[in-house]
Amino acid sequence: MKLAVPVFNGYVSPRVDCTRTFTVLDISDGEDVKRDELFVPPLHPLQLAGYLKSRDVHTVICGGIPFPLLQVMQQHGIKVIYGIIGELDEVVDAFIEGKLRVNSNFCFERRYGRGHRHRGCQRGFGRKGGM
Amino acid sequence: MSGEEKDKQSQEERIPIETICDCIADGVFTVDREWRITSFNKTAEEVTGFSREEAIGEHCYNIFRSNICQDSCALNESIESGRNITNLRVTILNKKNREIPISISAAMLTDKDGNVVGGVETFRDLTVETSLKKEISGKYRLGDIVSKNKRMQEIFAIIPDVAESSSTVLIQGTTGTGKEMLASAIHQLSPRRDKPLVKVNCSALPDTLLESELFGYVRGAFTDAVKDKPGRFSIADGGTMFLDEVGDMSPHVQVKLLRVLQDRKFEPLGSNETISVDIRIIAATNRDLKELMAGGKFREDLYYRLNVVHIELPSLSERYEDIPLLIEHFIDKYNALTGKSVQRVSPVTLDLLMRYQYPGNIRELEHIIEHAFILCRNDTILPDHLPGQVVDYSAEERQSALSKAGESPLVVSEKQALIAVLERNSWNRQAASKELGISRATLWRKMKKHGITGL
Repeated sequence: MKLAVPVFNGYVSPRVDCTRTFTVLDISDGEDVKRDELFVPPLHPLQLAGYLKSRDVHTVICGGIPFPLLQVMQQHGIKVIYGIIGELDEVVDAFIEGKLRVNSNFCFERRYGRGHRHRGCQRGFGRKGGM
Repeated sequence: MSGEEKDKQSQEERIPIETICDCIADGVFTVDREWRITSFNKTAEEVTGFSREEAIGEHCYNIFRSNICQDSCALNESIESGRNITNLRVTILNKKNREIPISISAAMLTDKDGNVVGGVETFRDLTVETSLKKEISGKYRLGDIVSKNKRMQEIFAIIPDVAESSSTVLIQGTTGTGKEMLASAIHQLSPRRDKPLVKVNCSALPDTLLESELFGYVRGAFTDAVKDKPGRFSIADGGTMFLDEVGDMSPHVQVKLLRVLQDRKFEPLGSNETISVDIRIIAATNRDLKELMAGGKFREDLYYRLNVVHIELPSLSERYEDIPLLIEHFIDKYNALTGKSVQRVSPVTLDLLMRYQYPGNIRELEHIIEHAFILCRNDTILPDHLPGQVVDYSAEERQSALSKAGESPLVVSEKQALIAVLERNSWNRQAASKELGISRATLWRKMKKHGITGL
């Protein structure tokens, strides 16, 4: 069963249709067996669903997703767990443990991994990380 | 009052920045050096759907989810380049994951010593503007064809029924007026849209080749015929055939075409076997078929079979009001193709484009915009970016054309001079009136007289 997560600097990316790099995980027997990087070519956003489906992706975990794309993904039979904020590894663990739920309200309290509000977190974004 | 006392008083009276920002119609927010939001005004709350409490402390990209966040953040660019970004059109996702188009401006925030402490971004919700534009363009658009011209609107109105009925259509129009586009639009609206649309240009091939191209041939039909080749009519079976420049068809091929129209049958070259086809035919010509008929070059019976529905496409000079609409359409098209962000043509450029005669019609206008895109480096197309033939359209020709229309050459010269001076002074009326040695009021009157809006 393949799971695709759009990533941005090690975190679930804020918007799936604007992300080029996905991590695709092979989950079997509750284990994260294999990981691959998938580089998505420039596509019309709505074509992303078909593209992922053609690569046997059954579930997508993401942050923001435009409503039409969400519908198209669901029509293609892809399960979408959206509104997820957090570090990739923590999110995948939560998924394997069955704890990951759709965060349709985009509530920031539900966060996986080190929260950015924690003091001392110097991680910024962009090439140099922070300004 | 002493200076100290004044300071104290103004500090107490000074309205807090937050209150000011909450009264602004645009969204305003600031971020610190780790891209965490440090302020978030009321409009930002309304547009994004996130409350101030939710937003403050969060990374800006998790609140906005814009299409440029990950690759080309505007704030990041303005900090790296040291330049403010203004009026950049992007889309964001609101809290409900709905896409909202906005126009943003970004600048860096520095402290007294010039150190970067963060960034500030303002944005305007373009939803209403964008949907109005879509509504307007819906009325003025049929497929890829764009027009507000009365005659074109009449054509738009009948096309759905024409398409549905599968009747044969004859499109008349000079080169570059959109005959092929119209044929495409008809096919797409017809019940045959899932079947092929096959196009053949009858003037592009010599007669003998045209016949074998249209009807195909069997092995041995002629020296080079080593195997069977299906004709375009076979390939179009069930679908639509677009015959461009049908007036250039030889009499022999005209006979065979007539048979297809009458009996839906034909024989490939070198074969006795009759093939049946179900095809909808759309023909086009820029020639006067009646004249060709009089000269015996075009068959009358074929003409009446083709001319079931007759559509005449106006030349671009008959639809001048469409030029601004078409320019915008081509700018959008080439922005998408080249990845540039050209926003407009300057008033003088538009003036030149409205005066030009366009022997090549819309196709020529498209090439002109394509040419301008190569030379244009920022967001406005200027006269310098236009190809020679548009700019060289001489003052004499212009004046004589206009004086035929009733405007005196002297009046035209004054208008040209005014525009030139205004352009030279970046449309600053104060500076232009100074250069001309007239008062601002006089300049304004003259501008009104000539219909110069200076937008």
